[in-house]
Amino acid sequence: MTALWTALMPDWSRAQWWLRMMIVLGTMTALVATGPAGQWPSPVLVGVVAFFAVGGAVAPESAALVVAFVVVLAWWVLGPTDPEHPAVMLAAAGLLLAQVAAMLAASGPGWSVSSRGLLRRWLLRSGVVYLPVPVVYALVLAVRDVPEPPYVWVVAVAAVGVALLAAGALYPNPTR
Amino acid sequence: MTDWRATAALQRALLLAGLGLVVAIASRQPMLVVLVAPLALLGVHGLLHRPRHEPTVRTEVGHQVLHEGQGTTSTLLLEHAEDVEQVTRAASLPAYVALRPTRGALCGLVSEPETVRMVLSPRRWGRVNLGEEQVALTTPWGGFRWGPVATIGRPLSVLPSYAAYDSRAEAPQPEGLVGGYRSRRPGTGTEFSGIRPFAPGDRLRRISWRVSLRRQELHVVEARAETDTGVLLVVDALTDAGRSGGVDGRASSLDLTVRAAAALAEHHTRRGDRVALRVVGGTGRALGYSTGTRHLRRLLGALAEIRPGPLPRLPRHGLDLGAAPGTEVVILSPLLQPAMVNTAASLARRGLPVMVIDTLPVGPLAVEAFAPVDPSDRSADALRHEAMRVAWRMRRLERDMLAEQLAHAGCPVVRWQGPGTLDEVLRRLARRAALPRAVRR
Repeated sequence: MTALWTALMPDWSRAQWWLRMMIVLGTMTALVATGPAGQWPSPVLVGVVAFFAVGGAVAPESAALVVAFVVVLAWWVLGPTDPEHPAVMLAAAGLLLAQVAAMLAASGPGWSVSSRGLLRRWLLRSGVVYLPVPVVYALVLAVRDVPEPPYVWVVAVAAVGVALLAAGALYPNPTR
Repeated sequence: MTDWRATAALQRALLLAGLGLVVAIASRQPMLVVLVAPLALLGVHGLLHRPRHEPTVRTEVGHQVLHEGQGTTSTLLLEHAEDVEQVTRAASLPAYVALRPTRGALCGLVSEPETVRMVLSPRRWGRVNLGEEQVALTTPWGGFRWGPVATIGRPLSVLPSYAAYDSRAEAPQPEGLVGGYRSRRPGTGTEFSGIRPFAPGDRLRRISWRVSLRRQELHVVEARAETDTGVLLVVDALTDAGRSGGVDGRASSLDLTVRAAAALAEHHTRRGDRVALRVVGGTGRALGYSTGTRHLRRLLGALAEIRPGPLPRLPRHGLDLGAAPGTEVVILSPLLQPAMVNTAASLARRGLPVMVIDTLPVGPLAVEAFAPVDPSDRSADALRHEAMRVAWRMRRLERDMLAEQLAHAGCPVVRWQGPGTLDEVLRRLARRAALPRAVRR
């Protein structure tokens, strides 16, 4: 039994085990955070997201994690009765945790170790990129009852389009 | 040639951020912006730190020659690395090389010394290729990755560590010119040999005035010459019995052989003796008689290159080692090949001072590999195991009998025990050499 367990277990270093657990934990946290917002996910949905999250943990560069994230985002659109619940900030933290852990896990082979300096730097960066979340959340709450001008959505779509064009211009092969 | 490529993390962040913003607009759910805001920031930062230079990488190992157990570093040298923040290194894992980190793979910042310098320590003598690894570089915010690319390693000679060895015994038949051993012939040494009447050609400072006054005739003090000796080290590399655990683990027969040969070579070259080496089997290397530090380095290098293997043609009656008269022959062997036993016996018959150092490991070889099995177990594996155990026991008995016969033929067999291993044997051989003896030539 022990031999079977040893054979099935991936040959990962302790650091990689932690990072990959963070991928699953972050994704599942983002999903179940809809519970306080009024709608707990069904066991089937939890199973589906867990399946793709574990797939993303096993292969952090695969599309499995993208599928898991898309399902979580879709559930946040369709599921909660109160999507403006503060739990949305917890979900954002979960997605950020999973994203950063997946990036670090994918940067080396499964048996590699990550230096403390690297982990510290990414902890700091995660904190920095998380800072706008409460700000945006407060902004959303502030403009919730303000009637929107008719052109706001056109401007928003144009802004997204410009952002995508900028990303396309910079991405993906800058040295050529 | 490799290029910078966007990482999966950057692609994922951009895709989800774009998707989240579009869906937020389409479904009028501004809270989705809250969810994807950190991902969008990660993606934007990744894009802003897009690389502009093409880096080059190579590794440099700190030493060309090491003794087993010593450490060195494999330094990563980067050029045009202005865009690089993170380095990932995955070193190949040669046998008997300890690495820090243990598995030889690490991800770290390019500014961290422990990332750039990987510590290596060969744990067993031989030739190893160090510095072979896969290297990947990542830009700040993990947006783009370069590689992984393979770096070329460099072969390194790992010399055997010689255990402390010293011997105070005289050489049995010293026949050189100058050295530290008392010769049987008279000479200009300091060791008192006798007093005899003065003869033309004697040096005046050799006159013993006290004896000359008493005898009313000039007498001189006679001394023995001090000479060096030739030592031929014969290394049996025909087999390697047992499993090696490196410098701080269990020793195989070849480990014991090579380390003992290194210790003897170091001891004799330090004393000024002429040392030669003959490797029987494997690489089959032979080094002629010489002395000095440079020759010691050559000897250790030759020992480091030994690989176990059979000779293409191994005469059963023994090998011709080309040992000159007066040479002290030390055969280091686990005595598992009849040819080595016959070689020792034929050299002893020629009147040469021959010593055999038994390098078969004690205990673990037989105990671990061929431990007794449960008598009630009749499976094929158990029967094969039992047959091997009995075969090995018979082989050991046969070997022990041969060693005993060798000892009776005038060729002492001793187990390697470090300092003083050969003292008693050498003294006995020196006493025997002083006696008249008929030998077959």
